[in-house]
Amino acid sequence: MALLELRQLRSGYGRAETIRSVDLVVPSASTVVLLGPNGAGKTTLLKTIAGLVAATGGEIRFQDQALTRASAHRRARRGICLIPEGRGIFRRLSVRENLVVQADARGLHQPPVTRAVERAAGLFPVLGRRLDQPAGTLSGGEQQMLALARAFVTDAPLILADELSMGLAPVVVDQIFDAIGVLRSEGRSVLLVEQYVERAVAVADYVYILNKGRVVFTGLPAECSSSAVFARYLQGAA
Amino acid sequence: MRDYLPYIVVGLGAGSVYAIAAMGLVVTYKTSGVFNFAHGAVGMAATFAFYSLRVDAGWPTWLAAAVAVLAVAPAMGVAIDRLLLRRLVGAPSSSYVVVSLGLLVALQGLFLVIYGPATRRVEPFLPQSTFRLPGVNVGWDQALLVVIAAASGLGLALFFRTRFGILTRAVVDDRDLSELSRVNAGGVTSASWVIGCSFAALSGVLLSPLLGVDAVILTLLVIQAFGAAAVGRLVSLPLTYAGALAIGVAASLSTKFVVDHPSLQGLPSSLPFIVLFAVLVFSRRGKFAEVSRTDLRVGGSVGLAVSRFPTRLLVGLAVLGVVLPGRLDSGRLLTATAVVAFALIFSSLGLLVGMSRQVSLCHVVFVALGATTLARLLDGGVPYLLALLLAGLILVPVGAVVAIPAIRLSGLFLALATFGFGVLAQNLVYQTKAGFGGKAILTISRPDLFGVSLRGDEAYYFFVLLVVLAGLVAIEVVRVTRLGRILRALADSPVAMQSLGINPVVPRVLVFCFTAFLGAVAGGLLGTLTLSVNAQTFDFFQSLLWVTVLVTAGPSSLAGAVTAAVALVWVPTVFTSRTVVQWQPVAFGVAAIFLAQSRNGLVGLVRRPDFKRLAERTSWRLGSVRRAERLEEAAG
Repeated sequence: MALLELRQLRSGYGRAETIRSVDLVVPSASTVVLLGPNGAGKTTLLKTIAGLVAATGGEIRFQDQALTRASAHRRARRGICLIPEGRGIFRRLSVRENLVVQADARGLHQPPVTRAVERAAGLFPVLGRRLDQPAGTLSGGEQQMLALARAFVTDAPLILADELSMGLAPVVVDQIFDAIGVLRSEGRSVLLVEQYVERAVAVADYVYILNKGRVVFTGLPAECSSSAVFARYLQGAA
Repeated sequence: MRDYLPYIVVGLGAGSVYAIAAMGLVVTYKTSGVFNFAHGAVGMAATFAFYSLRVDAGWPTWLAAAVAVLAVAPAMGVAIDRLLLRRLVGAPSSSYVVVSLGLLVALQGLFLVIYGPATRRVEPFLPQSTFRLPGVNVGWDQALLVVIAAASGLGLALFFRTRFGILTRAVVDDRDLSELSRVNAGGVTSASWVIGCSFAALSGVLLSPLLGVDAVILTLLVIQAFGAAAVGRLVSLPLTYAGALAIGVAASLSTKFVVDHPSLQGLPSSLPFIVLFAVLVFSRRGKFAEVSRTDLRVGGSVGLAVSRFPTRLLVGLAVLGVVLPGRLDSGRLLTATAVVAFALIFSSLGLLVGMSRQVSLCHVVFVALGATTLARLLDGGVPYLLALLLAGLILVPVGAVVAIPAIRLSGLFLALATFGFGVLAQNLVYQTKAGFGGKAILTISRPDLFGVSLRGDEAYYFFVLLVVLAGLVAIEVVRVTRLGRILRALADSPVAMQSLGINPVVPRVLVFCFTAFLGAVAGGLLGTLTLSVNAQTFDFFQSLLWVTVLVTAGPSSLAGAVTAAVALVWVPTVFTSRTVVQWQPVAFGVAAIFLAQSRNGLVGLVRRPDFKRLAERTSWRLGSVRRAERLEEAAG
């Protein structure tokens, strides 16, 4: 069953169309990897799904309901969780306050926060030791863990992960991929945009390649040996 | 000490009311990132609602107050947020300043039209009896004011410790991310406007028995809260509260002091603005960073395009100026002379508001003091031309003083500092020997120059035309040469300019000095036209009105300045009906709200009619398009 379905989706900025008719399906409990060269429209596509960029055409269906025009917070409440490119944290809030916002809790010392803190600290112990520190003072890896914690604190069935590994040390990248593995094992769907192509394909159920706002390849990971993927990349770059 | 106690009691009561207004201002600012210059006007409007319900409709006081504070003001807050501000997302902070200024001017104008200028008395509704504390009698009303303010402050503080407080800070920190985290960011912002406007209304209602209900006075009084808000750096509620009480007490004590020093009679009412200006100018650099990161540029940024020397327009204006007087009767000729002088005022203001994108709210100070200085120099026997030149030069250091905040502060805070400076100058300097010297009116007589008498209106018209054309040419030269280029680039990106090795201090000081000089000369010309300088015509409010007029007409070009002069001075003499004259400020205020983001006001629309874009910019339903543009900017 399709959890998320895009039908001829179009979007862009002002008069420049960045996404030109994209059809894409994320089935329940599966990991879909989205690849493509710089400027292919991967980030825009994720933002359009999450509602930060308005769709100019086509349809977004989630759990068999259209939400093409819903605002970003409505989509988030429905269960679409975008972890944005860069660091998706509130820099001037403490780690605990970040978790309060993530957990949609009523105050600092409420049961949902305690649960959120336990959840986050269970996965990323380092966060549990930094609860009262301003999030902006965490290291890059810790910030990314805090951003990713939102996926765990909420029970969103669909996680959109945009370049989570960018600019992080290899050991932290391992932790991030482990966390994605946990999400998979919980039966949640992940739409993953990644620069580590081979690692991403290794965890994927399906692979899409996007170029210049269009899907140029759809298939199973087995169908795209690493070389084929790279061949298409090079075509796109040329 | 005993002598001072009653003043302290009075000061605490007044300070408490300012505290309520100031805390409302701070809540809105720190949550939405928008400083509401119209805060006082909103309070004024709600107070009129209170008055009408209580007196005209005969409602019980408590019900009228509750409706004004809890229904009318919140509705205004939501309307301001949803209709006026949401479409500005991503605009530079000067656009926000202009929109809230436009709202101030429009609201004040509107209520003057509806209720007329007369102050309405309001029966006191707080108990008037007193009780005895050691050494002093305290009115129950004063005690109640203190209690109400303290309770409101405490309530706010508790409110911000709840989830709403955290969500608020999250929205301020990163609006998009908070949306992704399921927070209704728009709702949080609207809530902050509801709170802010309610507090403004509460302070207005509480002030009404003391001061009566008056569109001008109430707007200004709530504005006194700006000083207290500045003490709290516009973000700290406890500091704002303390600052308001301190200002209230200091102002009250100074009334005692002023009894012995009549020349300082403007001091008590100026104290909030002294605090405002001083805090902004003297606090450490970087302490006043704007809360929101709204300074992201949107595609096709504001008013940068015009940079060619307008030879044809200048020649055309000169020809028109020479031909016109033959076709005018004597009354119209005087108006035409004023229009010409105002073209210089607006053109010089445009160097700041349009070209450098620095909203300066004290331009009237240069004009007024230019006129008074000219009058005094002429009294002292200085020949006219030399006196006019000297009047301009004497105002140059004043321009340099105003440039101090311009160097240190940007956008909003510069506007606030110049605003404070404008009020200060009116309250403190106008009455000294440097200004009007205690007189309401100074006289200026027209001179003979090189054997030609300028006593005739036509001769004087041509003299003004000559001087103004010279000034306009100088302004246009500045625009197209290095200074203008640097200032335009600084408006776009100060960081980029500094990385090119350009020191931003010198050009900013120069442009303020230059505008001060030109404003003073224009003021002198206006004074000579009417043969007198009247302190009332140079009220600080004019500075605000001028900015809205200029933004409406087109702040970035000569054509805009001329249009502004015609719209402000000529229109009311052509359409003499009372309705037109009364509605003029309302029209300018509303127009400024809608044109705050256009390239170059009405003139820009005529030159390059891009109605699709204007529709996008003025429509609130297309917020998503604007948001998308902003994201594109941020991304790339």
